[in-house]
Amino acid sequence: MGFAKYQEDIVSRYISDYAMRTTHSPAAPPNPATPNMKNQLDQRIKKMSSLKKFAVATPRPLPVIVLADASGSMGENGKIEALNAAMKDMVSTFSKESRLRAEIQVGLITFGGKAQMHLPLVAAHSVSGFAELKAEGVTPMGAAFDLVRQLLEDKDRIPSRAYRPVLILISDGLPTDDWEAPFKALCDSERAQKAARLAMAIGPDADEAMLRDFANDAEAPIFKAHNARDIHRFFRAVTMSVTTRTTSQNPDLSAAFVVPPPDDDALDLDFQ
Amino acid sequence: MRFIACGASVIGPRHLDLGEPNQDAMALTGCRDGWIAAVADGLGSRARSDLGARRACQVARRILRAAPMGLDLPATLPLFHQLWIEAIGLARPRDAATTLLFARVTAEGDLQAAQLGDGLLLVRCDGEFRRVTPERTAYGNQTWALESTHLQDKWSTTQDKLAEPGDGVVLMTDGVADDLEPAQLAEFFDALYQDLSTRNRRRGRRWLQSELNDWATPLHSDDKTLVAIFRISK
Repeated sequence: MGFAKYQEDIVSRYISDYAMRTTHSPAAPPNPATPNMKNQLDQRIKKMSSLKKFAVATPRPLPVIVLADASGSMGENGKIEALNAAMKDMVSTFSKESRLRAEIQVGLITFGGKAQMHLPLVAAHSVSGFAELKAEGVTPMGAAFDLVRQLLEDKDRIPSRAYRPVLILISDGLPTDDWEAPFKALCDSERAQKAARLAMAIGPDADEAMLRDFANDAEAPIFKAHNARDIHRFFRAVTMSVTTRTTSQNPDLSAAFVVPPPDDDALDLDFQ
Repeated sequence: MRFIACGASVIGPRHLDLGEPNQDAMALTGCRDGWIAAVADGLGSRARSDLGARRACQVARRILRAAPMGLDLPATLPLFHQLWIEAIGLARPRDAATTLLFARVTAEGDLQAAQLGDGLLLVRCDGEFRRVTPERTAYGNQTWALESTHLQDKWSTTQDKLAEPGDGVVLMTDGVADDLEPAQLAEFFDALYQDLSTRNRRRGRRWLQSELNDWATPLHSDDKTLVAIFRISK
């Protein structure tokens, strides 16, 4: 034992014994405590501080943000209905998941006519009355990129202790605004660029090259949805991937992105 | 000049559930009337991260124990990496990747400390509290680590003097650091000092262990390690 250890033990043993006596003595007083004694006790309790009061009272969040095309073309062939149902399923599954080691938060940004925060980033279990998307207008995807970049850069909304967010871009057509500059800003942003990005192209008219560039998760190349069931399959894969992350050893790792196989249903028509 | 030093490392609920080992490691040892402390957090995704973290603490202790008084810390950092690579033996550096924080306090109260990767390095010198760790620019668990290449510019270092009672240095892994209220770090530091200075090292460690095991943040999952050295007398 080095000298410092020896010296420290001698000193702290004395202090500790003293502390034990003073802490324990008021525990069984012969008479009710006088105000003066009570003050001393309060002060001692205050001094016996616990580290718990410095811990953040909220779980670490894992944000899942969907950028959904809600332009007029999404109104065809049941796409928007399938998207609404798939979103609801995903949020419902997240909210019921009980093995979590993080709080899954869900946000939805839509771009149909204009880009807007349809559902602010909130804990999945507190989402109630999810307002259904309506398909209308043009496809301002660039404006949606701006919105999500601002959200990702906001440390109050997504703190540094959050797990790496997941962005999911869904579109069935070509952007109608200047998307390239906002997309570059998203990819260049020190903070926003670190999010995991997944993409789904719905139908044959989607801008697949752009969606391919958007996706940055090696485990999950762009997914092509040919029919309404495929939208559900994609969201099921997202759900599984995210819940696997939050229950696994390291929630920051990309979990394997496995899209469940299609079930045979001849009545399900392909998107035109 | 008298110091009190205390540390604890507890396995996180996630590793407990999975039957995995603690991927944090710590070292705390007296040295020439002063103290040496190190904490390391093996990257959760890597197969041998528990080994990497243990070896990092051992290497830090070995180097700091042998180092001369006027150690040029930044110039010595490549040695930490080099000896760590040797210490992990046949394991690949990628598989054993780990963060590392260490500190040395001499008998005269001279402090040298450094950090690579996540976690928190807090100091109070001359009564002035300071966070050495830079603000994180990304999200939780995206971190720099000891790996194949030495990353000189990713290290943070500090050199100062523990001149007053209550001065000290606290090192912790991100399992603790990420769940602390950022605005209350100075109060947290002070509370640690207040609590540890009333206990001997064994009782201090037991208290710290119970605090870390019974952590208040909901759904907390990570391993948690904290080491503190405080000056307790003039």
